[in-house]
Amino acid sequence: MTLYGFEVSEEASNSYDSTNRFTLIEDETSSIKLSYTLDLHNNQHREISLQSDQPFKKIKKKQTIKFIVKDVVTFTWIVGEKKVYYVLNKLGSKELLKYWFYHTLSPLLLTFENTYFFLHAGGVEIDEKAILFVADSFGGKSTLTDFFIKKGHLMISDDKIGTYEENGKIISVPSYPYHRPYRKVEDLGKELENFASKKREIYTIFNLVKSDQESEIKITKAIGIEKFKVLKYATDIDLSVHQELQFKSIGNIANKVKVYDITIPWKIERQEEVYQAIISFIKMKDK
Amino acid sequence: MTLDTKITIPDTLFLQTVDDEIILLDTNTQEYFALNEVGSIIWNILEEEKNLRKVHQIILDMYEIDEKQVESDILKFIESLKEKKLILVD
Repeated sequence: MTLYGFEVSEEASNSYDSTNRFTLIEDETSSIKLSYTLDLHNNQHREISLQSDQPFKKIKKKQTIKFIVKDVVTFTWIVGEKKVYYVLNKLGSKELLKYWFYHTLSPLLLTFENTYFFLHAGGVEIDEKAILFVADSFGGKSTLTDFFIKKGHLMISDDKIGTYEENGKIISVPSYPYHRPYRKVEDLGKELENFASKKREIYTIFNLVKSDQESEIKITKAIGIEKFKVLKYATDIDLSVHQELQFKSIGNIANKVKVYDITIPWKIERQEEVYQAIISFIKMKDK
Repeated sequence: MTLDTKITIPDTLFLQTVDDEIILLDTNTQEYFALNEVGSIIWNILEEEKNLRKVHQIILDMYEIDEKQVESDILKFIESLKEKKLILVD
């Protein structure tokens, strides 16, 4: 399967390695403790943390990092390599291994390597263009992404999207092939058939602004600090590592991608209207 | 504070320009700030010159404004940066 643009495989030995493939290798020695610890927040009711042999402030190539989900699984990898060693703990299972690797560790690993800058966003394709949705918590991002999927649009991700710059353009990577239009802890979601397959320039980011049930659907351009704030809030991995780089990445996206606020009437029956407003807006922008 | 006060920009402060607005990030507090038009002009020169009297002179050379007004604008701006701990003042 493809995850954030990389193949994933599970190998019994560590003989295989490739920069285009994550290889998961079971290894009992993965439980050795390292000197530096960074506790992480999560909403999956688990204690999670990172450990490293060097400080976290500036992640360097060849730095050893562990990602620990207490009592479930411990992963170890060396920055710059795609081989990831793991050991399952007393509450661990293959399903939980997959969840934590796919959902949380891979984006962390790719962020630490500076491969991508991750946005906490839903994303779909409209007329072969990458359109992203960002919102506050419970702001309707997943619901709107789900509505577009049901209308037959390809999904880029319903939660987090890897982005990078290429030839002065900000590109989104088909990131996460699972779709979860519900809330359940440690659940990958359903693997989706109409998952996008191409990396595309981000055409527009919509910032969903929750509004009254009867409110008008308005689309307005965000500029300057307001645009910056939207993207800062939508930063998926907001750790005290790579701070300068992260700040630059947000500024870079802000300067290269158009961001629009769209008011979303908080009424499920009006989703079709929101959908049509976005489609019309994209078509009008094309002209 | 006067135009001869020595100013240092800490290396924990990062800057980005978005749509012509200067945005500062204080990595000590994780707070970020946008500068207004006057602030942006002062900051851009300050970054190069690191000297308030030079900033004052350059602005006077660039714009037709009252000398006292420029001085007051610069000192007010520097005072607000100092309050937010975005610069170090000797």
